[in-house]
Amino acid sequence: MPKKLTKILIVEDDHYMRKIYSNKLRRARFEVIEAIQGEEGWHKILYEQPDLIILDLILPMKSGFQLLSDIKGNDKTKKIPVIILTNLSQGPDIQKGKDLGADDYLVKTDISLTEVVDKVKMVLAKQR
Amino acid sequence: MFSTKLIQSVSLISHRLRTPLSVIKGAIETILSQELGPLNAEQNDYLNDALKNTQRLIELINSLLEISAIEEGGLRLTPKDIDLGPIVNKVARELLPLTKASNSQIKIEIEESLPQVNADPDKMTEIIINLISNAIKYTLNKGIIKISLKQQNGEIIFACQDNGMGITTEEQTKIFQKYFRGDRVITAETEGSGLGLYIAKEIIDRSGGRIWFNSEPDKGTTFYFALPITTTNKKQL
Repeated sequence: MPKKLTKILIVEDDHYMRKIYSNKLRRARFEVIEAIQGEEGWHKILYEQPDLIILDLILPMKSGFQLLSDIKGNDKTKKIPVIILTNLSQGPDIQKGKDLGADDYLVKTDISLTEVVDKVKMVLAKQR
Repeated sequence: MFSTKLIQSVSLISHRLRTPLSVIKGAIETILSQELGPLNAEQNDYLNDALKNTQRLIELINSLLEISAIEEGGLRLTPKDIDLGPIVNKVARELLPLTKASNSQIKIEIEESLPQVNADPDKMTEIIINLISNAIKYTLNKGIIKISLKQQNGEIIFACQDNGMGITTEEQTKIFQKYFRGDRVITAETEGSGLGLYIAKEIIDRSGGRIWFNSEPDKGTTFYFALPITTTNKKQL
């Protein structure tokens, strides 16, 4: 039996960003599922039960902050680690993300793809 | 003075530019990592140039966002009681590749048991990166950059001294102006937007501190900032 891959959900509305992060994570031997907007993200979290969520903040339908709040407020999902990956870089946004329970807060322009994969591995290692 | 509408447009556009730039940066990094296949030396060289210039654009946009926030009166600081020493050491470590590439040396002297200051740690990191990387850039080659942190008259004083090209007397009055770049730094083909020191001054002023410099052409420049001490160090009691 092949080993089950760790499942990561990327909630990101920009097609190109999704593509680049999904491909990078797949090459790093993760199973990747995608959602384009917050509401779709919430359904995929409930049905797919990912091992980790990478979450953008500015999303259509339901914002990333709202989705994070839903994840952490639900017994079935609250233990799933969440890494925020956004271009909102102001202190109050970072603080809000952490207060709502994000495991890490990364700014897209400030971090390389390899560093994102490293952060994913670090957060998963802490969880185990 | 720019109109609020214009400032808001600049801020919105700058913010929206960050996503496509993140994609371009990620795509270049992926090809450069050679995980998709090998590159020859010339391809590698051009892609490194592309990555470096994407990074320049990102930095310029970050500066524009910060300037828009300043102009709108909306520069939001998140002050905390912090130690500046670890920030200085971390920045010096992060700038090691730049220091090595320019054959410069950084010497750090931090007084022991320094009290904390109340300031935004991310903004302080940004200012210290700006001052040290300026010192490296403007010494051009084989620079000796001395960084110090000390306590004096109820303040923590940060100093960054270089033995670089210095600033002419005429340019000294303009150094903290928005978009100002000296003639000699442009001639020397150093990179920069002329926004870093303006932003640094705004942040330090709004944190209750002071920023200033001493400079002599062809001998070097020392930039200082001072922030009031807000807590008493227990070790000294």
